[in-house]
Amino acid sequence: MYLFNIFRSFVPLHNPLGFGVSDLIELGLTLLALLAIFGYAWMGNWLMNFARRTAWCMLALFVLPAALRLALLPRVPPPIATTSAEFGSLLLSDTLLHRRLVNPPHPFHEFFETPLVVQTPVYRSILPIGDGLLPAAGQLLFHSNWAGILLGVGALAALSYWMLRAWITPGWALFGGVVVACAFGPLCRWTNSYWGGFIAALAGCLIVGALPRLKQNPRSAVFSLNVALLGVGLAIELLAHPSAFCLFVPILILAAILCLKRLKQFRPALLFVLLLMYGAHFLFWYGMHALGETALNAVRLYGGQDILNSGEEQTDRAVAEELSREPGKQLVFVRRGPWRVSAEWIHNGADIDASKTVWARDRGEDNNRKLLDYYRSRKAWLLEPDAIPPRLRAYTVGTLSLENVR
Amino acid sequence: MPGVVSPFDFPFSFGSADALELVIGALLAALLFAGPWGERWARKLAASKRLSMAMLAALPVVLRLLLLPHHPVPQPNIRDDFGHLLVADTLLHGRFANPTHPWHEFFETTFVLQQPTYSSIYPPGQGFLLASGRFLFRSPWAGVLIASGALAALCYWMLRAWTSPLWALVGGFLAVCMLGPLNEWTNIYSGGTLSAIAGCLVFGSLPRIESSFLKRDAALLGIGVALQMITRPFECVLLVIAAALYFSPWLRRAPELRKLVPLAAVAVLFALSGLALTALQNRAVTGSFTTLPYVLSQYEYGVPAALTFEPNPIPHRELTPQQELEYKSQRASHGVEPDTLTKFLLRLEYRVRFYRFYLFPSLYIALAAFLVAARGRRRAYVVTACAIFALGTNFFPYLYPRYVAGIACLFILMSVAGLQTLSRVVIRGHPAGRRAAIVILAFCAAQFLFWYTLHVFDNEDVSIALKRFESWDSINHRDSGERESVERELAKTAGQKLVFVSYWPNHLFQHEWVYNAADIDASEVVWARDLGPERDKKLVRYYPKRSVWLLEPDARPPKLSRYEEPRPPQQQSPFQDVP
Repeated sequence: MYLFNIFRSFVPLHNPLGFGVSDLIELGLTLLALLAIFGYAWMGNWLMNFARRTAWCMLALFVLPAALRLALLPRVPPPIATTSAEFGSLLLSDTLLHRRLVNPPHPFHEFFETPLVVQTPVYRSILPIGDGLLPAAGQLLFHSNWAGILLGVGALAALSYWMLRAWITPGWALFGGVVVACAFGPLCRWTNSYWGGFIAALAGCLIVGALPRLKQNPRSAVFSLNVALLGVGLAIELLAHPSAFCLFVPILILAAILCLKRLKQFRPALLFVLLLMYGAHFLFWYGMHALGETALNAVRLYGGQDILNSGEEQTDRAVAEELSREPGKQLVFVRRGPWRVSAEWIHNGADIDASKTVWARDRGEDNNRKLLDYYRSRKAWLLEPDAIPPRLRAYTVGTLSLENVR
Repeated sequence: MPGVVSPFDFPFSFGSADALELVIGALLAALLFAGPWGERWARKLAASKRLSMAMLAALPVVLRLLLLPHHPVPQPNIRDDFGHLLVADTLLHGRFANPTHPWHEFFETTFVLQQPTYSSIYPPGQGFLLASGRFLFRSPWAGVLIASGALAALCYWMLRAWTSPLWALVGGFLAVCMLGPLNEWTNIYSGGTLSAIAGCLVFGSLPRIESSFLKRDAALLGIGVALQMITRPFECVLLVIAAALYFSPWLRRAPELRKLVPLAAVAVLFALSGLALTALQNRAVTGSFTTLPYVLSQYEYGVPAALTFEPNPIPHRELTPQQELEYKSQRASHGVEPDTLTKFLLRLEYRVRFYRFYLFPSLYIALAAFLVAARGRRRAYVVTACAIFALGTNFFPYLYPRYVAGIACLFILMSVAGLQTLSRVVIRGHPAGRRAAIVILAFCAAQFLFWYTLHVFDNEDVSIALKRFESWDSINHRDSGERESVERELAKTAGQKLVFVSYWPNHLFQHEWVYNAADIDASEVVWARDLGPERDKKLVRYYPKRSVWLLEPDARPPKLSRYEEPRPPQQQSPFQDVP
């Protein structure tokens, strides 16, 4: 109980130890540093032996980032798509799950016009197919697009280790894998959105990891496997982003780890400080998310790019929850204001007519009437996302119902 | 940087926390990078005791002087400051007490006796220090600064008796960082440093006497006790108990006890000088050799509050409204109910927070290491001495860090010994403990350098934004007090002044303005209470050559105007301003 009181107040004279916030940070950093020093002395040899076990290491690294993110679920729920790029990826995923590459155009496609989506001659996302692969896999295996993203981050950490093994000692490779698991893990934008990014990075890891392994005996089975992995990497790369950009992430990881190794030879103390600050940074922001909204709000002002759940996402989530409470299918007309304060709202599945909610642009009463006639069985809504606060109301042609849902 | 909220507005997409992290990381890296070189240099320096002491004495002084552009010479601000400055001024007049002023009711203020003599209620120790600064450098603060340097040097000297020269030097540097330029003691006039110096002398002498039986060390022990006696008499009792406890095992060893007797005589002789000074001051101020000025103040004004086991004092003279509130406040902090063991223990636990004053956060780990490994007579003694002070000062109804200043050096000793213990830890062949000790020291240095640098660039946005996160450091700023600006305003007018201070009903009683020098009549500015037109008139007549002013300190900003004698009622305007 007394220990808990230490965190009750950060005003020095109200804190049982007389600590201000800067004191607690300093003490935390020092404890972390000592933990690293004593931990390494205690477990260093064991870690070096473990690092040589490729399969176990890959498994551990695969699980680590996903487990860390899942542990945050009570505080930070799975992300929902809010941007055009994310909607594009999800449309692609849905299209693939319908076992096709494109969808037929909708007869009222003008209502569904949205960035990064073509409506005619076929209805499809303009993003490369690769961007839809991970969400599709997640949907297929776990009925959640985001599960695919989590599989992607786990795979990236594991494959980074595999890639590094070809270039550097096992210990450094394992270390690199852990760094990737933290950097691209629970607090990374990629893990908490549907923007994509992992698929290209995975392809890059396969390519950069396979290349040095091709020096092996060409007649061995391992050689053939590496050639196959190189081919798979190139294929995914073509499907994801047909450019050399996919090599950026693995090369960045490789370069960073090589620099750190060099730094250790040059000045071990500098490496120690670098890792200490990196570890402290990750643990601090991860801890703030784990502690919940109050702690996070206290430090939000000072945060960099490690803060999840923007206010905009919360609005989207509230609207989606409101609609999901209604029974039956819905049609939502989205009316934008003269100025846009929020991101894109028009996003639909591959099979628009079968979707539970159809999002359509508000094109004026006369035009809207046609779509209402087309979707007679659906309950119609009018969403004004640019109002403050955003408004969602039941919609009838001629008069707007006074029923104000939200 | 501090105004930047969005990382996208900042180069490298950094948020404020990221930028701070980079700065701290760079600072730590620089410190650890310089570590091996620093260690070699420290080893060489530690070999020379005199050079080390000289450097440690100079360091806090130089570092504080470098801050002068943004943090000028501190102005007295709180009641205790004025009380000690009055002692210093009185001493510079070659006396312990001043004659009572014929119009003393105008000069009633907190912690100053008006009768039987006009004197501060404080012991003379801090006053001697301030007087020496004024005498040598024409600034009482010079005395404070010199004492700050002496404390760092004597901490090192004290630690030399307890640990190796290198670790003693480390302790000396910690003293500079923790009790040096950014510390409250260096930036106010109410002391702390002198009491800490007394502790260094006493605790540094004890092991030396044990090992070498030199009369010089006994003399230093006596001087330490005397210094504590003239600085904080109650804590002197605790210090003497702690010192006596060190030799308690010798009571069973007759030959060593016999060797100790002449040394004890020397120590007592020097300690008696403190007792003599105290008695002389008592006699001069209160008329009795055995009545301390603060005891008389308790009788007359009911303040300061009595120890928790004593009953609340009752004032025996008419109090001003501010003195009345001060009395009630002190009585409330003392409590009306008698002290109980539960209350005593709760106070003891609450006061743990004040020890942060003596320890950087990282050093709590070293302290834990010390306590875990506190085996052996010497280590047990250090813990016991700290416990004596913690328990003894717990009888005060409130606590300021300076009350336990006598064991400041023991806090540093425990930190250093803890680090030493930690540095010996070897895990599976790795010198992990040594690395841990270096890292803790690097964090301490980084903590000091970080805040010191921010004070060097005090007016920059970064400093202003981060200052609210600085804990326990206390340094005055340019134009920190309203009194300073009023004094500047008064200085623009030539000649001597008489300032009537008129408090509004909402006046905060701790913000006292009526403080005067030892020789009130010769002062450039005489501060007097506004006792109403009729009585004020008498004082105006007493000072016919002084320009007369009225100060209303509760106006925002404080209003200083020419004092106008009240006109007869028939001439008074019906539209007078109401304050």
